[in-house]
This record gives sequence, structure tokens and C-alpha cells, in this order.
Amino acid sequence: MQFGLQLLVAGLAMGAIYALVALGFVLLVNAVNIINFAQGEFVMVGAFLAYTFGVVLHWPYWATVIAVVAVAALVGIVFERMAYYPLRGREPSTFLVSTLAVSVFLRNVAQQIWGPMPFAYTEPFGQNVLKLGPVPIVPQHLLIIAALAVLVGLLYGFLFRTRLGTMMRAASQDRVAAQVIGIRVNRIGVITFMIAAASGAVAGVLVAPVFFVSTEMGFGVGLKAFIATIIGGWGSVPGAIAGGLLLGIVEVAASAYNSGFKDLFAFGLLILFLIVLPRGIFGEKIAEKA
Amino acid sequence: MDRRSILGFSGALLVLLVLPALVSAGYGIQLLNMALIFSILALGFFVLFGLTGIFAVSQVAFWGLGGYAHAILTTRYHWPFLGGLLGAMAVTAVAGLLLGLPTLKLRNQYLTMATIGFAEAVRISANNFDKLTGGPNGIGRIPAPALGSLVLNTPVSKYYLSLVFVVLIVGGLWRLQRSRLGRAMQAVRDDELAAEAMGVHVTRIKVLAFVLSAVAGGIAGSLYAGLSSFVSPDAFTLAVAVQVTAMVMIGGRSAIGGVVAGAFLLTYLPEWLRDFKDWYMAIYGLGLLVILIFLPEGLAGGARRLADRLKRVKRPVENVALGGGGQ
Repeated sequence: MQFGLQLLVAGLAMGAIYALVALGFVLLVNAVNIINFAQGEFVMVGAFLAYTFGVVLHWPYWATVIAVVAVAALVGIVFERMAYYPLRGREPSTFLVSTLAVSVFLRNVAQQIWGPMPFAYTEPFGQNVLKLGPVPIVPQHLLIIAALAVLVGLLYGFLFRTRLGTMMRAASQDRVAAQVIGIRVNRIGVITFMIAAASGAVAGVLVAPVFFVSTEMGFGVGLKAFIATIIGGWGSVPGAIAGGLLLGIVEVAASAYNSGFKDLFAFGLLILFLIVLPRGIFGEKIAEKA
Repeated sequence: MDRRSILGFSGALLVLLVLPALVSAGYGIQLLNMALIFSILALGFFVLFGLTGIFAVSQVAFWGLGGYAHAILTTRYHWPFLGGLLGAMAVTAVAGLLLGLPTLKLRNQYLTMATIGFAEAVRISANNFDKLTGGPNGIGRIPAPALGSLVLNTPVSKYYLSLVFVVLIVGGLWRLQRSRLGRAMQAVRDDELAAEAMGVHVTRIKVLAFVLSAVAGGIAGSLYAGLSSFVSPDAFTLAVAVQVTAMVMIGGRSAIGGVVAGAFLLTYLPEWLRDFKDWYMAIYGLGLLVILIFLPEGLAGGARRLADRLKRVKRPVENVALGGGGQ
């Protein structure tokens, strides 16, 4: 029971990370209809930046987070100019390769800047463990879960309560019609890339104390976020969250059973969903084929 | 076959035949061998991506499956080389069928994802099922390829063995591209709905393309096992899948010769960029992007455009369907 609760918290925390990264995925799918294979690299960039600001420069945690978000948004703009803008209008597989290319580029530039050795980053809680009655809980896990709740609230507020968010939803529903009524869809695209990069980078800051900070950390997280997107339902924002959380719980439960096969369970879950329920949990607008 | 293709094909073959004499005996020939193995992998991916328009990442998994099948059959059951090769082809054909049947009905991005999942699952399994695969240590002491009493235990003889397969596959694909089946594949690539309306059995064509590319992966794996006499999970990472994709994209996704050129180029690029060693992969990513942006039809498309401009003639319209690639 205690063990179960511990696993649940750890699973939800991992799931919240996947959900955050998956949110960026889904926003990009809706806004510009591309699959961003480099989404995980934003996580890596965020974690490395957090290390630089927090550990090397000794900035306080809140300042670190703000700085990471700002730099990541800039990375998002550059990313859009490299991997999307010059190629827009080409067939979808082009973007699979272009985002992969930028992902290789980002990972190796990071390796040149920060070196190949992994770093430890333990902000803001250090190595402390919380005692909830007899149950030891890692406080970082609780922070991650709370951060997801807050950020999802902010995202919904932005999408449904602001003018820009409304324009963004309009552009993702019908790009041409949005253009006709005067929405600058290219600019909306850039903003979406900024949000996607920033949400990935925040996930990087949050997950850094759970993993080590390394150039390899992004790829796995990105892959899991992609799985979460499919499990949750392609293009669905609530689906990204539900899929991420479900995947996190399954994965942590599986690793309690046998850690070597943890990833196998994640991919097993994916293939199961693809065969049994390819629309995912919150499947929408899947009707169009090809 | 028109004169230009005959000339190009025999010229390339001549170069490939004399190349081993021109490189250093140790590392040089090893690189050439890898370039041929990558050519076979990329040619398999060409059937899938270039001809049929399916973007799957499973090629590396079939390479791994083929390698392990060959390794297990020849070391544990002492099968001869050809038995190992046929076994690897059979295993990858069945695996391709089993993976293709459920996933090829999915839309493209799901398929890509499912195949990444499959590729990772194969690698993780190879890493963890120690009893069968030797775990992270892999399987060593795979016997050198032998045809009857002729043992091919030198790198140069292995090179010519691989070259035979590359030539056979290139020839087969050249025929395929111009056959009824190949045209059906290209119809599926260009417009799935239209192809279906014209009576092409889309799922059957896709599964067939998938199995063909899987078997090419199996052949490459089997040759690789015979070449290096050692297989381990490290050789079959997703980075290789990216590499193979880049080879086909850079070579020109609808030109067979371009695919082989792309495979050689990307096998040798690290050597040429050795001076930038640390920055090599970053430059590589950037270069891939530049080619995507400025040469949408790859090196082959770029070369063709250049030749046409020099001769100041328009390409005949009938080749549009075969040339592919849109634009």
C-alpha cells in the first residue's frame, strides 16, 4: 500500500513531464500540422540552461525558471526559421527529417557547449525526502505534478480567454479562413513554436533533478511524449495530458517489476493502443485518411 | 534501358570493382564494406520510402533481426553461411509481415511512431534476453561467409560478396520501378485515394513494400554478421535509422543510383570531416537541413537538373511519373 502510493506519485510525476512535452507536440500539430521530432531536445536545452543559470551562475530558482523560459522561446523562434519556415508547404515526411536534422544539430551543439559528461542538478529541494506519515515522498515529484496543474490552467486561460489564444484556435481550425479574416497565421506559427519550446524547457528544468542532465536525455522523453500523444488522441490537448499521465504510471509500475523492460512496456502500450484503439482516449478529427 | 543508364550503371560498377585496389588494406576496406552494407539498407528503405511513400523507422530493426538471426543460426546451430542468410531473410520477412499488417492501415505519423517503437523493442530485447542474444555482450565468433569449400575470410573477398548483393538488388529494383507492381507503389505514394480508386489494393501493396524492405534489411544484417563476426545491440540504435533515412533523402528519394551514392557519401563524410571531429555531427545535421531546403530531390535530382541545364533541353513529360518527388 505504502509502496503503491509511492509508485503512484512517482508515476504521476513522470507522466506530468511527458504530458508537458506532449502539449508542445499537440499545439504544433494543430497549428502547423507538423510532427516535431526535436520536441525532446527542448527538454535537454531547458535542463542544461537550468544548470548554467542555477548552478554555475547561482541564480535563485525563480529567476532560473524565467530565464530558461525566455531563452527557450528564442530557441523556438530559431527552430521555426530553420526546420519549418523554409520548408512549409512540402509533404509531411520532409518535416520528420528536417526536425530530426535540427535535433541532431541541437544535441551536438549542446555537447560542444556543456561537454559530454552528465551533470547533477538538484534544485530546488536538494536530496531531501518528505515523510507523509510512513510514506517517503520525493518533494520534486509533488512540484512536478503541481507545475503541470498550474501550467495547464495557464494554457487553457490563454487559449480560451485571450484574443491571441482565440486567434490561435481559429488558425488551427481552418488556416485559410483565419487568414481571410486577417489573422497572421505565420506569426501564430512562430508563437506556437515559442510555446512548444518553452513548455519542453520547463519540463527539462523540472525533470533535471530526477534524471541527470545530459545530451541524451531529450530523445527518450521526446519519444515517450510522442507515445503519450498517440495514446491520448492525436491533436487533443486533454489527450496529451491523460496519455502522458497514463504512460508515466504504467512505466513506473513496470520498472518496479523489471527496470530493464521499462521501455518495452511503454512501446508495448503504444502498439496495443495502435491496434485496439488507434484514435486514442480523446480521439478527435481522425476521419481524414492519408 | 537507355544509353545514359547503361553508361552510368557500368561506369559505377567499374569504379566499385576496382575500389578495393585503391584503398588501404585495413581501415579503408572496412569502410568500403560498411558503405556496401549501408547501401543495401538504404536500398531497402528506398522501396518503402522512395517508391511507396511510407516513412518507417524499422529498417534498423530488421538489420538487427537479420544480424542476430544469422549469428544464432551459424554459431549455435552451426548452419552454413547460406543457411544463415536464408534464415535471416525468412525471419525478417515474417517480422515485416507481422509488423506491417496491423500498422500499415494507420496514418503516416502513427506508422512512423509504431516502427520507432518496434525498433526500440528489438534493441531492448536483444539487450535483455541474455540466454538467446548474449545481452549487451552480443554474440561473437560468427564464422566467415563460405560458399561450399570457398571461405571468404578476407575483407576484400567479403567486399565482393556484398557487391554481388548490391548489384543484384539494384538490378531488381530497377526492374521493379518499371514494373506493374512498381507503378502501383508509386501510385500509392503520389495519391493513395486515387490509387485505390484505380483498383490498386493499397494495403496489399504497402505490406509487400514493407516485407521487401525488411528482407533487404535482413540481407544487410546477415552480411554484416559475416563481415564483423560479431553482433551486439550497440550496432542497431535509432541513430542508424536516422542515418539510413538521410542517405535516401540526400541521394534523392526516387533515384536508385542516388541512394547508393548517398550511402557512400554518408559513410565517408565522417572521415572527410575528421578535422572538425567534435563538430562533425552538428555540421552533419545542418548539412542535411541545407540539402532538404535547397535540393528537394536530393543529389540525384540536383545532378539531373544540372545536366538538363547544360544541355538546355526539357525533360520529356513521360518521365514525370517515374522521376517522382513532386515539385
